[in-house]
Formats: sequence, structure tokens, C-alpha cells
Amino acid sequence: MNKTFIYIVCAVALIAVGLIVWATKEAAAMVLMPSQILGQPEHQDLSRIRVAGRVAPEAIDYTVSPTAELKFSIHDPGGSPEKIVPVVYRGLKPDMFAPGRDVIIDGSYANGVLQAEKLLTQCPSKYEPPLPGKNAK
Amino acid sequence: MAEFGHLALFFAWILALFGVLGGAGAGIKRSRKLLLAVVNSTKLVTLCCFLSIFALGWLFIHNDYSVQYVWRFSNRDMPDIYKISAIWGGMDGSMLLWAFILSLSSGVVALNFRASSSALMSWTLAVLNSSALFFLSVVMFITDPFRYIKAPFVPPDGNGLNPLLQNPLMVVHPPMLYLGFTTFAVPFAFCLGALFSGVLNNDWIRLTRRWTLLGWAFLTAGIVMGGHWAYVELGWGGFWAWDPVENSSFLPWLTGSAFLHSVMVQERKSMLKIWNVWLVVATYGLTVFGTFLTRSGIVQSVHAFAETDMGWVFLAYLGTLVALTLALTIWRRKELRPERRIESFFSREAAFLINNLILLSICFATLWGVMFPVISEAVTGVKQTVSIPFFNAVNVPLFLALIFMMGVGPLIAWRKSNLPNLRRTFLGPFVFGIAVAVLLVWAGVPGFYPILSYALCAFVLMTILGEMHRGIRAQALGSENALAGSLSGAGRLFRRHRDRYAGYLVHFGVLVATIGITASMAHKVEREFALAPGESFRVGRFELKLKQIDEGQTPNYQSVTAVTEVFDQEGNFLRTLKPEMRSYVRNQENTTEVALNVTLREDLYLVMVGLDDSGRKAALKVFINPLQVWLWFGAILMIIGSVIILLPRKQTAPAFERAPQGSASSSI
Repeated sequence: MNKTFIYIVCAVALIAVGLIVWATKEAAAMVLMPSQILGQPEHQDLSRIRVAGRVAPEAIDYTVSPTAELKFSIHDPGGSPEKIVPVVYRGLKPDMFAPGRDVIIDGSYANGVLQAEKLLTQCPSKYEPPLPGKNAK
Repeated sequence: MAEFGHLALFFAWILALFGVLGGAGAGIKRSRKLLLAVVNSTKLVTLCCFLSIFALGWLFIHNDYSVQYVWRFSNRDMPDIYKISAIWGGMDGSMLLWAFILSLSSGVVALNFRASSSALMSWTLAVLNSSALFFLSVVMFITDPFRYIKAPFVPPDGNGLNPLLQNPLMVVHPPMLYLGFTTFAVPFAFCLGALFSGVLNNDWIRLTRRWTLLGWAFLTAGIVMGGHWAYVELGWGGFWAWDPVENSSFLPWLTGSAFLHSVMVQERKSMLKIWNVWLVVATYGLTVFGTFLTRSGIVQSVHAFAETDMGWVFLAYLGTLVALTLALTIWRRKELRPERRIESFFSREAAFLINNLILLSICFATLWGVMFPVISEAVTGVKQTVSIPFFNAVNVPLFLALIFMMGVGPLIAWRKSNLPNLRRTFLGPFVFGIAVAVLLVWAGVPGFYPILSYALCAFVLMTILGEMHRGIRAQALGSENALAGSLSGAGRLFRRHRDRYAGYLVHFGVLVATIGITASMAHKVEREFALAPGESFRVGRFELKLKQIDEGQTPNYQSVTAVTEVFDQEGNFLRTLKPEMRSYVRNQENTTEVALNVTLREDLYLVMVGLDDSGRKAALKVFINPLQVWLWFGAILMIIGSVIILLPRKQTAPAFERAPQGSASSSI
């Protein structure tokens, strides 16, 4: 190994690692389930979180004008539908948004409401549609 | 037909197993006879894989819903072309496609087999067959696409392919990606073959270089097609979201790009040998890792592949590869010792090393981002995640540094550069870059990174033009007519150094794409609004007027279309855009059909999102993406450049020995 080689490797690695550490600190968001949000202590900072939940069937409220706003609530996928978290999303309803669908939300939680900045719908059928009914087995 | 497909698969598996054992045996015993048998069996693997995937296609075309896979991804109304593309619409078939394309590249290696370097070839074929064996095993034992449906009757009609995938780009994009992935198996095989056989002269490097470039070109095309599909189909106005599935195709692209550069240093200077071995292995390993990542369900992705145990099989395979390479590099460490050392920071060796390190940093950062949920949960117990802002914060500066190196690397002198030399080559372009930056600031272009990006692109462009200018002048020396002399000089120059200038064309494509990416990211305009017929909305230099809302009905879906007229600032009519919302009858999916007005200057991207409660107003979303089309043009240039390098040169040497000449001239 020669010195120049090592100097170069160290310099670039240092810069890259520095960037990664800094950006991770800036951008890391906790991943929570709806029930876990409700279980967090009150002083916990939940200003940047990602929540994976299932859209509850009731109380979906969508208005388009003057500005698009979508209100709904989510619960744990496969969990009890009682522990629900209300969500407000200022934006247009995404493709394939429907009750029972799994969504991923980036946003902040305060005063009992999850403000969604980004709303992604998992699309269950894209690669694997359901099997031909459980009865077929 | 399903049995036939199964049988073909079984034969392919047996033949691949023979290929592994026979290839290794031929390598150890130096047996020519055995090697010839393995060459032929490798060709037969290709044939059997083809028959197998042909059988699956036949089942799709003939609507044989007794096969579960066909039932799930096809229905009677689908056009034949989508029935074919439904072969890779799901995981089982996409693994078969993978195995088939892999066997295709090993078949090409076998076809190009000539008498020379038989020890290297024996081991190379053994390794190639082991890759094929692995994927065939996955297809046979885990994701068998020929399984019969578990129902007491044959369903009259199938489930149908997801409407989002019923798009011409989705017909081509997955095979293109797989072509890229599997082509990387060949460099990997040559590399391990060289280590096994001990034939570690530069032979394997030359053979590998062409194959890597081929894989790289396929992968570039595949990734860009995926981005273009997301752009025109998904309706969120962008083309890249740093999603795990996207990232997993991006990682091998980065290491492949790194190898294509560092290999020149090895050819010229016999340095970085171990480095290159690991880059080749990493590139292939990352394609396997990507499959693990996307199929195991350990990271969340909007692509939502089914969670299976199959991911862990891939991880085990990956671990074996790494362990094997580690053992081999230690075993062959004497032969892999560098013959020279880097002498100066200001040398091409150093520039290429920095280029490599930046590419690897981007690769590592992306990998870190993808794995962060897993890492953070393992370390702190709390699951955390990073998304687009993280990737941009790290990768944008790294990419810009890479662009800078793209200007420096090809022009700086080997070994050691001196100041007059640097000044002559770089002062002009550097001043030009600064001038562009000043001009942009003065013109009011916002943002630090965008301006830096444009300035760097200007700098690199000038270095390329300067290099061409010097070359042409040298060629035209002594000619009487200046213009004619330059023209014929240019012709001579490009013919003589075809690969070098094709490489510059690739770099130029990168510049064009970078400008497109920068502009469409930094100066994007996004608005949401609702219009009743007759109302209009002003955005950028466009005025959008809703003419009417049409409702339609086809056997497949119901649609609502917002017929929108686009005017420019002066009120001149430009064109009508018809963004559409579709609701598919069969699986109750809603999709949006984006309407696009594409010009060199910007894309006007209009999405119909819904009707308001009264049903009279259309909710629309509009994006203005400046210079978006430059990205696609740039990518096309990159691919054209690669293809030019890959074109055979006029000579009679057998195909797989052709590489030396082609690569030598581009390693200037």
C-alpha cells in the first residue's frame, strides 16, 4: 500500500461518512404503528414520523375545493380497529386509496391528529393479487 | 404444456449441475474433452430455459387458467402483447425470466468459445453454470410458475394484469433490467474463473470489460425506462423516489460504473487488481442482494412484492459468494500484487481512484439509506427510517463532485501532472464554468446546488470540446485548407480513437441528463386546483381552461376525462390535453392517465385527480418540469455511446478475443 492511495481513500471516506451521519441526523424519522403513537409518552417529540397503517372504513371525508383535503383514520394492519388515529392530509386523494388499504404516511403527530405530509398507498395487487379465495384451498 | 415447461426446467437444472461439476473437473484436470462437453451442455441449458419460458408464454397465449400463475396475471380481454409481458408480471415468472436471460448470456459465452485459454474458460463456465443452477433451483423449488391452480375446476377467466403494468414500457423495462443484472454474471464468472485457474494476466480483464459495459448499457436503459414509466404512469410528476426497489437496481449500476473506470488503470498500469476483483464481485453480488432486498420484505417499499422466505436463500447465496471471493483473493494475493504505485495526487490514477471512491460512497450512502430501518432497529431498538431528503442531501453533493471528476479524469496526465500542463488543459474550462455561474446568479437563478451543477456541466463540456479541438488540430496539421483539413482530421480522429470519443459521448450524455435532472428537480412548479367547465387557471407561462368533463365506458374500465385547453401568455391556443381517471371494472382499481405536453423547454404535466362532491368541478394537479426531456435524451446518448464501443471492429479475430483492441485504444 502506498501513502497517496491511503490518503485519498481516507479523505473521500471521511467526507462521505460525514455527509451520511449529518444527513441521517437531519432526516431520520421514527417508524410507528398507529397503536404505538397512542402509547407514546406525552412529551415525546413526534414531529417527524412515518406511520404504516390501514385505512379504517368509516369517516372518510374528502373535499376537493377550495383546497383538497382528505380526512380519514387509520389503525394497525391486522390489529384492533378500536385504536384509531385520525389523519388529515392536505392534498388530492392518491390512486388506489380506499378503506382497508395499507398506507404509509410521513408527517407529524400533535394534539391527537396526524398531519400527513406524504401519503403513499401500498398497492396490494401490483405483484401479488390475492389467491383464488380461501375456499379454493 | 405445463408438464413440458417443468420438464425443460428439470433438464436445464441437471445440465447446469453437470456444467458446474464438469467445468470444475476440466479446470482441475485440464481436460479438453470435458471442457468441450461443458461448452455444449451450457448451450443446451440455454435451449432448455428457452423451451421452459416458451411453454409459459404458450400457456398465457392460450389462456390456460388451470395454471395458477396464468390465472393470476392474465385474463381473456388482454391484448396478446400484455399476455406475453404478464410472464414477468409476477414473481414466479420474473424469476424464470431471470434464469432464462442468465442462461442466454452464458450461452453466448459458450458460443464464443475458442481454443485459447482453456483453463480460464473451464472455470468461467463452471461459475456461470453455478449462477444458472442457483436461479434454476429457485425457480424449480420455490417459485414454480407451472403450479396448477388449487381449485376443483378451471376458472373461466383470469384475474388480469395490474392496469399500471399494461404499458409498453413495462413490457420492455423488466427484461432490460434483468439483461443488465444477468450480464454482470459474466464478468463475475470471468473474474472467479481467473482466480480459480490462476490465469491472472490481463486476459480476464479484457474479456470482462466488454461484458461489463454491455451489462451497464442494459442496466442504464432498464433504469431509465423504469423512471420514464413512473413518470408517465404514476402521476406524481417525478421519475425517481429513492424507493428500495429503485435503489436495488441503482447499486450495481454504481459499482459497474466504478469498474468500467478503474479497469483502465489496471490495463494501463497493472494497479488496483484486488480492487477490481472486488468491484466485479460487488456488482454481481449487489444484483443478488437487490433481489434479496425486494423479495424478503425486510424493508418497506411501495412496490409491495409478496413477503417470502425466498429472500433468505438469496442472502445465503450472497454470503457464499463473498466468502469464496475472500478465500480466493487471499489464496492468489501474490499474483494480485500491484506492479506500480500512485505517484501524485495530480495524476490520472489518482483521479480515477477518486472517481471510484465517490461512486462507492454514493453506493454506500444509498445502501445505508435503504437498510437504515433495519440498522436502527438492531442498534437502538427503535425503528427509524430516512426518505428522499436524506438521499438528496448525501447524493447530490457526491454526484456533483463526480461530475467535476468527469472533467478532470480523462484529461489529466498519467503518473504525474505539472502546473503548466494543468493550466493549459483546465484553465479555460474552469474560467468558463465560473462565468456560467456568475451569469446564472446575475440572471436570478435560485439555489446553490443548481448553479453549481450547471457550472460544473459547463466546465466538463469545455474540457471535452477542448480535448476534441486539440485532437483535430493535431490531425489537421500540414493541411492547406483549414476547414477541409479540420473535417478530415476530425474524421480520422474519431475513426482512430473510436472508443475514446464514444466514451466522451457517454460523458456528454451524462451532462445532458444532469442538466435535465437539475432543472426538473430545482425549478419544478406544482399546483393543485379545481375547475368547473369554462373556468381557467394560470400557471407559469400557461393558461389552462377546462372545456368539458367527458365520461366514457369501455369493457375494461369507466373513465372521466377533463378536456383542458392550453393557451400561452398571449392567449394563443397551444393544444388540448386530456388527463383521464380510470376505474377498472374487474379489480376496482383506480388509475390516472397523465396528459403531457412535452417540449425541449419544459414538460407540462397534467393529472386529473377527481371530481368534487357536486360532480361538476374537476380537481386537477399540474406540474411544470423544466428541461425534463433532456434527461431522456441524455440517457439515450449514454446508451448510443456504449453501443458504439461495443460494436465489433473490422477484423477476423473470434468474437471473444476481440476485446483487447477495442479496450486498449480507449484507455488513453
